[in-house]
Amino acid sequence: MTERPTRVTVTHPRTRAAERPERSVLDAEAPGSGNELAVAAIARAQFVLAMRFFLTLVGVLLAVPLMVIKVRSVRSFTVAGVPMSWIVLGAGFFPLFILLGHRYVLAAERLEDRFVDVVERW
Amino acid sequence: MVSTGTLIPVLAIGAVALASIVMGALSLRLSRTTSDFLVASRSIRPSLNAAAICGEYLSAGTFLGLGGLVMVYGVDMIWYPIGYTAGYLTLMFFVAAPLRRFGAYTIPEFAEGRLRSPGVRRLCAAFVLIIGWLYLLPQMKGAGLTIRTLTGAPFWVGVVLVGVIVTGNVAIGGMRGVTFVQAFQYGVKIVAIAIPAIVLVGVGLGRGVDGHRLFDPSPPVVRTDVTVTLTRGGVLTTSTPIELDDGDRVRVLGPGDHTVFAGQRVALREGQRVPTMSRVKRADGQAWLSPFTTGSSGRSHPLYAAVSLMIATFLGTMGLPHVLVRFYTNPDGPATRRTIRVVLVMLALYYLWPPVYGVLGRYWKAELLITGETDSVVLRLPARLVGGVLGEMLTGLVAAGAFAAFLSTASGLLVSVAGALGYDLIRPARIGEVTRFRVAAIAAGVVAIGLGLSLRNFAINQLVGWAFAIAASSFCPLLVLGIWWRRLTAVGASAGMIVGGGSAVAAIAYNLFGHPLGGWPGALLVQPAAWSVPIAFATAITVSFATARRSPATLNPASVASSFALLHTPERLRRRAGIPR
Repeated sequence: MTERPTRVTVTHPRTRAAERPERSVLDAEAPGSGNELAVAAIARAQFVLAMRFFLTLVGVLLAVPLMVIKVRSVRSFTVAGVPMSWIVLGAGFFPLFILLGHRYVLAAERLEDRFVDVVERW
Repeated sequence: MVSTGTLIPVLAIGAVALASIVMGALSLRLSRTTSDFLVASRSIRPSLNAAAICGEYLSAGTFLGLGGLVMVYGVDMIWYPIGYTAGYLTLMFFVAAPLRRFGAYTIPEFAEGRLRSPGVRRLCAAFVLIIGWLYLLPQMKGAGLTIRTLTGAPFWVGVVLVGVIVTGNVAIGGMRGVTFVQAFQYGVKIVAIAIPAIVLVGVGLGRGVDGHRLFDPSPPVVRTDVTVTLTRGGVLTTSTPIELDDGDRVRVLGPGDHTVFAGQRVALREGQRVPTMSRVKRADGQAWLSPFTTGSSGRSHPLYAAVSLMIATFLGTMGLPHVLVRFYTNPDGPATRRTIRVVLVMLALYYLWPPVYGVLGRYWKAELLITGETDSVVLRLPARLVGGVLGEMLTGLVAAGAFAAFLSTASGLLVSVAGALGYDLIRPARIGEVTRFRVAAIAAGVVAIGLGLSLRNFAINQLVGWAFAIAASSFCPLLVLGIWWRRLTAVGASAGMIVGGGSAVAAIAYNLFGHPLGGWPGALLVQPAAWSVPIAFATAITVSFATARRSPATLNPASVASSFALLHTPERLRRRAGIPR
């Protein structure tokens, strides 16, 4: 057990990031090096994945209103007097969001695992 | 002046306020040293941190404001919680994990670290102040409204009460390291919103008020004899005779239009249609019942308004200063993603309930529609439907939840604002760090109280929506381009923030202080995100290309390369190299 540390009030999550970034194993020694290309590859792959999920999200959000507007039977359909549009907007989107988030977590982790495997073998 | 009927609610608020003062004082002891704090932070599980994030995120805007908006404008207002939740998905896709890896926990810090420019840091800090104060305003209004609704005390009492508690707490406790306290606040809020809603729906059903009657397209009707004090003057339009009380005499107004003044009282009979007021907008019939019929604030072009609101909430969540800082307690990038996955579930469980109050309020408490005080519907419903001690306890529960919402959100915001003020904008070298933070916190709190007292004629949730619009037009381009695009320059990022964020600020300032406009100009000003966000991105990209020669990528290629390596290298590779996280 070490000596009890002096009490300091933490007022701000100050980091050294602004002054001195920590180095990563893939830090580029020289521009255009293999490491820099590897970072570019994982960044691009992550961005493509993020975009794919983002566009799916936008698609879901656009499809539902269009359906509500265009399909009259959806508009007038009610459950115990509650209109379908209220149910869809009030509760229907959330399970889709959770599913999308869950799928993204898995996909992003799989991507990282594959990348680490490639780098370690390399 | 506290009548006996309001004793329990007042005690409930007192308990919440006292608990937060005590916890604030204790947090000083709990977070002993900087490194203690950091080490403890790293052991926090995603689910606990998710509860803490929700505790800080769910504010007066959703606790009180959302129910009120649904009551007035109907189903279209449910786009707000959808956007508030979807915003976490975009935050997860584009920002959370890389930002955590980078090791910067505030936006000004990220900006300086990535772009190597102290100027950008100060500009970001200025936007943190604008967004923070704008977001604090509805918390203040919510507090003033709650205290007045429950006790009849003047509006300023609640504003000053919450302002002083929060400012004192932040100045004493500093960065509250106690994740547990924030997580507890989420628990208070979800119990306080869900249980009364379930009870009230049940009571309504017991009296035969089922879905068919709640979602009836006919105009809203008063359910009991009431007298309403008008808060604003204007033209009152009624279809049936009503009594108007001037204070010294009572007149009967026939069907038609009548000029009325604030302070006059209107007596309505059970079963009577609620008159409309020229200066208090609302949606009736199908406009209330069906989607894409009203648009926020009842103006024209509802589809544009809904899309623009979506853009603001989607892209604005990542730019909220008090949200990002919370991910700092996650150990690594993947943990931030898992945290957000839990956040989505917790938000969904919460957002089911505020619209329920809006629907019930329109049926049971329709007279609120002529005063424009619909933000208080969540507080007034329990007493309307349930009498006696049970009714008081339910009111106490929602009042406690509302207060937890003001206190936790306002504390988180004030910490961010004080940090930006005391560290990023002004750095007087002679003052010690703790003193500087305290002075900044008090200054920021005084400004927030002042704003809260002077600006009050707006819907709580609309102001929250505007804070999102500014965040989306200023910080979203900075974060997304900074994380994914090597060529972003300090000048380009600044130009994007000034042009995009600046125009959103201008539009919102006009909404607050200018004369309301109709048609397209009005719609564009009320929901600026749909044009200000693309402008911000376009400016940042164009100016970055134009200033590429002076960018760090050209001057110091290794700096951008190491920023990118930090942002995107998975933790496992760093650990293997023995590099601390």
